[in-house]
Amino acid sequence: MSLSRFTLPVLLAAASAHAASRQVSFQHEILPVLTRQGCNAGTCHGSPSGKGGFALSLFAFDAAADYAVLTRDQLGRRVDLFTPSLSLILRKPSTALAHRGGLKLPRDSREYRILRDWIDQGARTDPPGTARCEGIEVTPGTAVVLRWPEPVQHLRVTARFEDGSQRDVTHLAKFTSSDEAIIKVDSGGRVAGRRRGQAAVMVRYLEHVAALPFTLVKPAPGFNWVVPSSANYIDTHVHAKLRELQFTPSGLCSDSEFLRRVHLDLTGMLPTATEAGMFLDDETSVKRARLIDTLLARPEHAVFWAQRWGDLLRVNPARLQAKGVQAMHRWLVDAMASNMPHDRFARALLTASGDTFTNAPANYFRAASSRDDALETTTQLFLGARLACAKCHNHPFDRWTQDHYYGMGAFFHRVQRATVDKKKGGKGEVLVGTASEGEVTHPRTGRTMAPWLPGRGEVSVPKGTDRRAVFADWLTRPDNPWFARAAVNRIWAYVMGRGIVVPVDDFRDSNPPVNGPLLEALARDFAEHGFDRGHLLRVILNSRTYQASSRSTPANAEDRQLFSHYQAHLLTAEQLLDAVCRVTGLAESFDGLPAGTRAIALPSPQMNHAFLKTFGQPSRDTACTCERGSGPQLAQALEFLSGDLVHSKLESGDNRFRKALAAGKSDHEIVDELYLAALSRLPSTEERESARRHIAKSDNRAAALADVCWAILNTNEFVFQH
Amino acid sequence: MKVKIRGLVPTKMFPKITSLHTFVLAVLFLTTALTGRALPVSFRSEIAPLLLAQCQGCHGAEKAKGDYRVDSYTELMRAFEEKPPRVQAGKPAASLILQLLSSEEADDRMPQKSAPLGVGQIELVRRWIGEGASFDGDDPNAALVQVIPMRRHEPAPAKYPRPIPITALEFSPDGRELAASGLREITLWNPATGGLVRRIPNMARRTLALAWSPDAKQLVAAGGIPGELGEARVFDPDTGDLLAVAHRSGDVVLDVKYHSIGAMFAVADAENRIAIYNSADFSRRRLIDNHADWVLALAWSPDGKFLASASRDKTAKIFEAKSGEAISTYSGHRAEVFGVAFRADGQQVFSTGRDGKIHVWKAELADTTGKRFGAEKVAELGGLGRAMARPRMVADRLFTHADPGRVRQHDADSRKLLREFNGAGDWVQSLAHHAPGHRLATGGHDGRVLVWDTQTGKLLSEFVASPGR
Repeated sequence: MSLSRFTLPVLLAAASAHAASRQVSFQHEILPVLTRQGCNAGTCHGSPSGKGGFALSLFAFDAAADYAVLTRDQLGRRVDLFTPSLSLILRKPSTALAHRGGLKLPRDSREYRILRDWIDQGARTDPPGTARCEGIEVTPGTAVVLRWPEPVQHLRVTARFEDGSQRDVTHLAKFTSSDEAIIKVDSGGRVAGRRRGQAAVMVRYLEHVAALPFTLVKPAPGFNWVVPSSANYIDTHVHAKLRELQFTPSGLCSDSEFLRRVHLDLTGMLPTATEAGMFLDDETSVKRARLIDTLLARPEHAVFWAQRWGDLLRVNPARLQAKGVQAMHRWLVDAMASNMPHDRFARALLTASGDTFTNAPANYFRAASSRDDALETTTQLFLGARLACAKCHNHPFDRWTQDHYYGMGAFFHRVQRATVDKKKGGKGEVLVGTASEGEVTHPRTGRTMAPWLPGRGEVSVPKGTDRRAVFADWLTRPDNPWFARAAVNRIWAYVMGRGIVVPVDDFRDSNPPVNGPLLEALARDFAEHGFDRGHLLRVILNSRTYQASSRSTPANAEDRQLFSHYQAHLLTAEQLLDAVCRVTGLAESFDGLPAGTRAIALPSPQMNHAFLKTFGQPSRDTACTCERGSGPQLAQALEFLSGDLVHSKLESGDNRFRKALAAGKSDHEIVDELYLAALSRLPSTEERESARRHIAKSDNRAAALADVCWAILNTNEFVFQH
Repeated sequence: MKVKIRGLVPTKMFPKITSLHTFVLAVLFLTTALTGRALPVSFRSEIAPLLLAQCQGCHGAEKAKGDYRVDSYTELMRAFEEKPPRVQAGKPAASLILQLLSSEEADDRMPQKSAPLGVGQIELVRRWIGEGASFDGDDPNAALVQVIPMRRHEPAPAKYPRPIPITALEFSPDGRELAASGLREITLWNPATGGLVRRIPNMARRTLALAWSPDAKQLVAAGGIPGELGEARVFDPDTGDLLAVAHRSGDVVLDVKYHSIGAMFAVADAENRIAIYNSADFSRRRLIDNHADWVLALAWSPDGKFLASASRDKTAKIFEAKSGEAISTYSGHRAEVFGVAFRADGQQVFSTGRDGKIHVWKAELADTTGKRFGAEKVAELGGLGRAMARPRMVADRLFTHADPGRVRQHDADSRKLLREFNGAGDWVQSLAHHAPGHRLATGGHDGRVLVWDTQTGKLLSEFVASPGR
């Protein structure tokens, strides 16, 4: 073969034929395209180990690494600088070559062209000094109401750059709907409603995330808004939302329903038969408001709400030891009893130092045993933000970035925990304190992170100042938008059975409140009243919304989130156990605790109590409300139908109805008493009659009454709060 | 000559190709077939490439969705349980494969989740089945990639429109020439002047590794087309004649290393395989299918008895060349392993990986009781940044490169850093060393080649190894 062949004239690579006149930006076009097409999603190449040996950073949070992977890694195999269309990153997602992820980049798409042009131009990074994108704006910028018959809205996304310029990036942004059943959004930003309800569209461009709440209004046949009375601003906001979506609220619940409901919410216990009788007989018009005040002042109220905080603060002996549990339990009960303002409560925990056995709040940092734990717990509890994702990468559905994570982490970095064990002359207590130095290093960039606060940016903390105090100052300022919202949403969810934001500690733009004005009004009221928990509860419990019947009407049956009617929910494990004890008149005994201790007063979870476990008592391993199981399960039904605990209490010679029999009470009296104790109401005529017939048929009165009691315990009316 | 190894496909001896005529004829034949439609559809040149690119990803030996494979003619035609075969010769309409390719329903259509095949492609399959679905090759059991006719690759551009990244670089044994990766060609340069000496055409699109035989009579170029083809082509470096296409695979061939005595060379590919070929007749001596992911680099032991490999499966291994048995596995990187090199005494192995470290481990053989698992680590050298490529071991010196363009020379015994060769502006993608001449050459992603004196650390020459640049 002769060498002359080498000089054959050949065509230049066809690549340059495509050349676009404008330089395609890697940062501002290529990375967004990878996100938009789903390439770098967590289920695809954005997973920590990538897919098929090709790993991108999740939603392009690490531009430098992505650039290297796309252009240099594996000897540059993924881009072809001479014939761009032969690049693997084009051939595979356009399925010219088999692609496990399927067709993600059609050859005739604009995204394909952007990638191809970029490669054609040399697959370069942006020239130095290229203006950074500072944020995005989505128009229309406010909440959108879509109406039939044409529930359609086009979104436009504009990116702002640090040099003051703006660019339409709608074609580069990624759109996601929070609920596809309600609204759909296509890749061009066209939003189309599908059914009545509320949902959000999340827009992502680079690390910038915006979310737009949508309300879909569809005329409900026969809808006729009759203005119900409002007890306070809560009703005003709830009704406004209901009216907008054309739902009609249910009427008020009955006195007996209210009585049972409010007792359970404030004290965790059923009203006694006597209390029930007295309340039902009371004819004064303000008796509901009066009952709320009375119950708020009861010691049981403090005990029950201390249990709720005990769950979140992980008060359990495995973390805090028995002595720490006792100290923390007492402190929480005192805090609730004295109605300690929420800002003081948070500050006490967040700035606590000292011996965990004697200075209870210090247990906060014993339970949260590392910087990251303290940060994640604090933000989840007091800001309603789940930051854990941002530890390893920018939060996929929120604006939190890895920088924010480590910047906020700086506030907790210097917390020190020293265990004083036997060898050191202690009993296992932990001494919590702070070091005078120590900085957080960003694991990816290696940068030293200055303390950073949302809405404030980097803050400088004077030498010698406990950084936690600076954090607490910022957190509890009345104008901190996160603190009050997170608190009121939690309290609301406890008594309403569902948060305005769900899950209660997952506030995100992409997870908007179902009723924003309501949340704002509650938060404002809370802050204006010095974060007074008692005040807030009083306002909520006095609202018509709280006192609405749990029975839906045809005009609101479809609604499960806007509070048109009360959402019935299972009693908590502890409430239910106490209720069974109350109805049967037999206390439960717990390991190492005085006889008569109620389940709602347990300082820490009973690890081996089958009934409590079955009904979802948390073991307090996390700071998440979700740890408490709330969904009904088969095991729970079985526990009531044939479980040991219920059975033994019904068989006991000392139970309520056997004692009543011994005291010579009539069947009628005993059945009434059982109904009052279990359901806070007297039996209806039919109920009374069927009980009577059952007892009459039997030759064993006690056994027959046990059947009646068993039947009552197995009603939904008993196990549910309604 | 046919050699049968561990029940694998018998290797084929590749004819020595000395004339261009065969190719011209083949091209003419193909052209007629594609345009005139006078000739019957060829399985080898028309159906097999389609199956390979579009179907084998899900219906291959590794992953066989629906228990159906198409990675050879036999597999494609196989009947499954009681069902009729997917391809019914002579009956396109009754063939399930055609129904699935042309289905209107996206959920049923093959390839799944992909753009539908073009009308022309589907018509090709229809005609092939209609014409009897016959096999026009030698071995119906052979993998598709072995069946597809060898390609004559397009000529390289006379002048390159932009510098090409230098992914492979190798000094000739006498040190007078430096072979570099080009676009569908290998370019030969004078390392002292940077002048272009010769061009060798008919190479696959990309060259990822080069190896000269010790007698300088052969130059093996490994590479291919990413995601589509892997080849190791053997050229006569003086005439540019293609001597053989020794190795083929469905994705690129990633490394090639000539044995020090010269009777054979080993290749590593992106189908997780290592193969050893005789340099006399290019017959395959051994196929080692041991790694679980791409084999990225190879190194012969100084005595030529062992072959070390680096793989994306996060291990480096040592194989006995004669038996093909793995005698040692090193998994200390816990990340992709990019490169391996034996120390001059053969006692230790150096490996680099995505963990950004050089690991030094013992090249001990398995004990006879078979109890040994895992090679023993001796040391670890960090601070390399992202270590990206293949180290080179020369006498008592170890050369490594890493991004961004850092090349380092370590003492192989003390592991001390002796020298750094700074000057590459972009990532160094390849490294060549000529021991007798004390020359080190680096190839950059930006297309620049730098030649250094390893004794003085002086930069001797610098050029862009792209014709016309």
